[in-house]
Formats: sequence, C-alpha cells, structure tokens
Amino acid sequence: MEKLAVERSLREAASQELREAAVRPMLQKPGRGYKLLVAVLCVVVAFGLAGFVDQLIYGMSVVDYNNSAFWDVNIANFITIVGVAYGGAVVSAVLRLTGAQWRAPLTRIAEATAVVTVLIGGACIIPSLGRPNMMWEFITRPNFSSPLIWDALAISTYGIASVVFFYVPLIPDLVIAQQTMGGRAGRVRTLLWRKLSWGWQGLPAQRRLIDRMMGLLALMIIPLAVSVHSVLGWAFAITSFRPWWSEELWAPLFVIAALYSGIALVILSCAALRRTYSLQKYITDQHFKRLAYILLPFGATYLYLSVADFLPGAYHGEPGTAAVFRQLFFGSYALWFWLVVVGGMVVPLLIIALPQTRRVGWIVFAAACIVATFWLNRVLMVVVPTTYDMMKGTFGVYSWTWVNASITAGAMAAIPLLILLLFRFVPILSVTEIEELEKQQLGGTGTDLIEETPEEV
Amino acid sequence: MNWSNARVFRVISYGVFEAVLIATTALMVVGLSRSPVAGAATPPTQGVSATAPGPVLGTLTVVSRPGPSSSLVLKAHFTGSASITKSSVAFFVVTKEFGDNLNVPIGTAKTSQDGTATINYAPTWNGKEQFIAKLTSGLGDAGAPTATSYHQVTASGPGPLYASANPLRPFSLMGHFFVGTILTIVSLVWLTLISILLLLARRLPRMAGVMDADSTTE
Repeated sequence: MEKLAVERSLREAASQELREAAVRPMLQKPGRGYKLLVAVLCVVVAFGLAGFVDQLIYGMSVVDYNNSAFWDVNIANFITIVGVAYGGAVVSAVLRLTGAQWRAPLTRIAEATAVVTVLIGGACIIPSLGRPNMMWEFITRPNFSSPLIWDALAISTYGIASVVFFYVPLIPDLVIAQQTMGGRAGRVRTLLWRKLSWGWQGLPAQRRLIDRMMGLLALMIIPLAVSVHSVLGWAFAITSFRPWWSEELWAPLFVIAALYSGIALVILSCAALRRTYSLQKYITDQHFKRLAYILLPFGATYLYLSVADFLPGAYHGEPGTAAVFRQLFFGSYALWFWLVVVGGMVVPLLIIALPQTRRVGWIVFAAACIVATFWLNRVLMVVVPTTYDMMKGTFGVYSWTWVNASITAGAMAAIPLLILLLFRFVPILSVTEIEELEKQQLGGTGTDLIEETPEEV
Repeated sequence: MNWSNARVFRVISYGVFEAVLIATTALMVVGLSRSPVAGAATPPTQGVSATAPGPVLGTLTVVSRPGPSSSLVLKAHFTGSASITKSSVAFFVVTKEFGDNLNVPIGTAKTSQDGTATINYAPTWNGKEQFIAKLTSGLGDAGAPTATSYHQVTASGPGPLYASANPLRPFSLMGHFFVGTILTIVSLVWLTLISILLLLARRLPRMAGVMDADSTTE
C-alpha cells in the first residue's frame, strides 16, 4: 500500500515536472542571450523587408532579373523553405500512424517547424513576382492552364492542413498549460487558451474524438505534402522548356529532397530548443539517433535519384542539358555543385552510417550541412538553367545584389524567430501525448518512451 | 556675316546634291507617266510569239478527278494574238498558313500547242482554296499574265503535314474533366479540414457540458 502511494507520488512529481518543462519557454524570464538573439533576428527580418520594399519601388532589376536570368534565388528560397516544411509534418504524421511511441516529445516541435516554414515558404513566392498585387487574380481570374495556379492551390491547402494538424493535438495541452501556469500565464494567454481549448476536460469521449481527428489528419497530411512537392517539380518541367528542368525525375526528387532536408531541420530545431530550454530529459540523444536513422534512407535515395537524373542526360548529350551539366560538373558552378554532393550527401550519410560519429553533436552538424547545402542545391537548380541562352548555347551572368541577399537572410531569420515566438504562446512539449504513452508503457502496451539509461547519455 | 570657306563649300555641296535629287525625281515621274500600262505591251518571251506582241489572256479551270482520290486537275489556258506554245506555267495555291496570302508553289508545266498547261495536285486540307496559274517564261514576275480560280476542296488525305508534326496533347481531350476532378479533390480536402474544426468546436464543449450537467445532477 505504502509502495503504491510512493509510486503514485513519484508519478505525480514526474508529471508536474513534465508540465513545468512544457511551459518553460513561457515561464522563463527571457535572458540577455535570448533577447539579443530575438533582436538580431528582428533586425535581419526588417532588413529583408526593406529589400523587398526597394524591389517594389525600383522593379525586378534590383535583384538582377534580366534577359539571361529570369528566375533567381527567391524561387530557390521558396522551394527550400516549403520543402523543409514537409519534414516536420511527415515525422509527426508517419510516426503517429505507425504508433512509434518515442515520437511524443518531438511532435510539437516538428509540427511547429512545419507550420512556421510553410507560412514563410509560401510568402517567399511574393518577392519573385514582378507585380505581387496580381496575386489577387489567382482567385478572381484563375488560369487553370498555368502550373502556378496549381502550385498556389497545393501550397495553400497544405498550409491550412499543417495549421490544423498543429492545432488539434494542442487543444488538451492548452488546458494543461493554463492549469500549470495559473496566474503567471497573463491575461492574453489565458483568454487565448480558453477560447481555443473548446471546454476541454480530458474526458474519454473528448480524447477519442481528438484521436480520430488526428488519425484522419495524419492520413491527409502525407499525400498533401507529396502533392505540394510534386507540383513544384512539375511547375519547373512545364513552366518553361529549359534544359534539365523537364526531367521526369524532378517530382520524386523534390519530394525526397523535402523529406531529407525537412527532417534535418527538425533535428536542428530540436537541438536548439532542447539546449535553450534544458529539455534533455525529454528529448534525449536516442531521439536524435532515431531521426538520423530516418534521414539515412532518404539521403541515400536522393543520391541515387540524382545519379539517375544526371547520368542519362549527360550520356544522351542533348545540347542544352549537356551544357548545363558541364557547367555544373566542371564549369563556373562546379565548386558549389560538388559542395552540395559532398557536404549535403556524402558527409552526412557517412556521419550517420559510422557508429563512431553517430552522436548528437555530429548528427546536428550533419543536419546543418544538409539544410545549408540543399538551399544551395535549389539555387543551382534554378539559376543555372535560367541563365542558359538556348540560341547561342552560352551562359548569361546572374549576380547577387544586396536586395536578394537581404530578402534571403530575412526569410531564413524569420524561421527561428517565429518558432521562438510561437513557443511563448503554446507548450513546447505535447504533454497529453507523453503522459498517455507513459500510461500505456506502465500498462505494458507500448515500447519504452524514454528508454535511455544514463550510461547511454 | 563671317562665313568660312568650309561652310560656303558645304552649303554649295548640299545645294548641288538637292538639285540632282529633284531632277532625278522629276525625270522618273515624267518617264513613268509616258510608259505604257504594265502588262499592256508584254515583251516577247520564249514561248510567246515574238512576231505578234499583244495582250495575253489566261483562264484557269480546276476540276476534281474522278475516283476515290481527292486529287485535282488544274488546267491553265493562255491565249494571245500569237500562239503560246511550250511556255512555262507555274501553279500556286494561296494560303494564310505561313503569313498573309502567300502563294505556295504546287507545280509547273509547259503549255501545249493550244496554250494549255495541266498539272495534277493532291490537296491535304479542306475548304475553299484559291489557285493561281502564272505564265512565267521569260517574263518578269510583275508582268507575267496570271489566271485565278477558286475551288471547294474536299480532301480525303491525312491532313496537312504541320498538324501531324504537332499532335493533340492527351490531356487536351479531357482537360475540363481533369481540372474538374482535381478541383473536386481539393474542395473535399478543404471541406474535411473545415469539418474537423467545426466538429471539434461544436462537440468538445457539448461533451464538457454533458459532464457538467451530470455532475450537477449528482
């Protein structure tokens, strides 16, 4: 009897600790480092907005759009950031559908990363338009022959689905956050949470309803994400008949690239937030290893698809494609291309494959390499074929200006900024899910949730 | 006025140049007004009798050949004050496919002793077509006598070559259906998402309300 009481009190203490950890970003008074980071990110975002305003006033020539380079890094930013949104959603959805219990501490961060990146990525298309005010005509005068309308439709649908997928499992945690923080939550948060939690009381019927909805959403989010990245690949193939763009492999290549770089971004987000909010007890080293294991087949598949993309094109020798490939392999873009191959594929895959380097630090380094080089990869995919002159068989010049550099930096800085700000309003851990899976574990129905021993750490 | 020698020389040069220009133009106008009407005095050609120059008149007849093939017989007949024998006649079809009313050559033939030249032609598209026959032997293009005829062509062939080189795209046959299907799927996804939110917004408070009512009753 006494033993049971001790166990119960231990469980209650652990539960309280978990709840405190989940609301830690809201409880902790922002330190100097946090404030400095937020200030720097705000300045970079403001700099990006200034660049965009400059482009609106002076036209596309300020980002070096010209006859020989009609698309640029803005398109690459759009593909990269929408792409990484896939990782967060799929990690959460697939692990939810397969019942992988170790997912629980990661899902909130993964879903938040997906929401933030899809919103920023979707907005990144605006700077690449000469007249953004024409966006309205997507709705009022849609042209269904244009691939861009399907792009907009796919991304907006996926964006809405990501927001719903983030929100539904959040409902119980909003009540928990309210209970944990009490008066410390402040009036705005309390009001927001009360409105958004729809009278959640944790009843079995409410739980069943949420679980059913989450199952449905998890089923929907995967094909939606596949459709977004396929449509992006097809948009290249049919927007303009450029060399290399019309490759049939681009749709699967885009999907795999999105998964690969998206999971890498989830690793980076988890690592940064774990360190910032001291969540090592919940997001363990084992989680990073498992995410790395997921990364491995996607990296290998991307490498294989890349070879399958380049080999027949280079062998066949169609003039435009051959010229673009020559430029990539040996020409003025060779340094960047090989950096992508080595830094984005070979090195990360080796880091994950070798047991000696399969540690958190190395995994985070590999993830950083993947995210950075896959942005570079998209820049090459966009810029090299656009600068190719199909009449003369020569390459035009595309150059960076302060405007496209600032817009790029602003978009990239907006991701951590929004994630940090988001967790000032919502719990960083999915408390209900963790507790539920812990109960299952105690009942012997699941695998270990936090199965790491101190030795493993 | 203090004019330099160079300036005086330049003014004189311009004056002489303008005078020459005006004189040339005047001569051309006079010459043109005195020349005979184009085509009225056709210079002698290889086929046309040189001894008896005079106006040449042409007629063009287009008839469909009997039988299953849709080929045509184009018969151009030229008459003049002298016999037109062994003269070259070029046949054209007028088309807008490659620009504004371009004459596309479809064949040439020599005139017979009675001044008739005949070719066979297999058209590849349907419609009312304009055919032209031009007596070309030894004549400049502007002065060549021509004959024109219109004919309603009914082709049974495979159609123009340009069409077969650019086949119909598969989705063009079912484009509306395809667009409609995808839009329906997207609408269903949006509806499902909205329904999920509405369902949660309605049922979660109701479930909580039932629980509250139960506890109050107890």
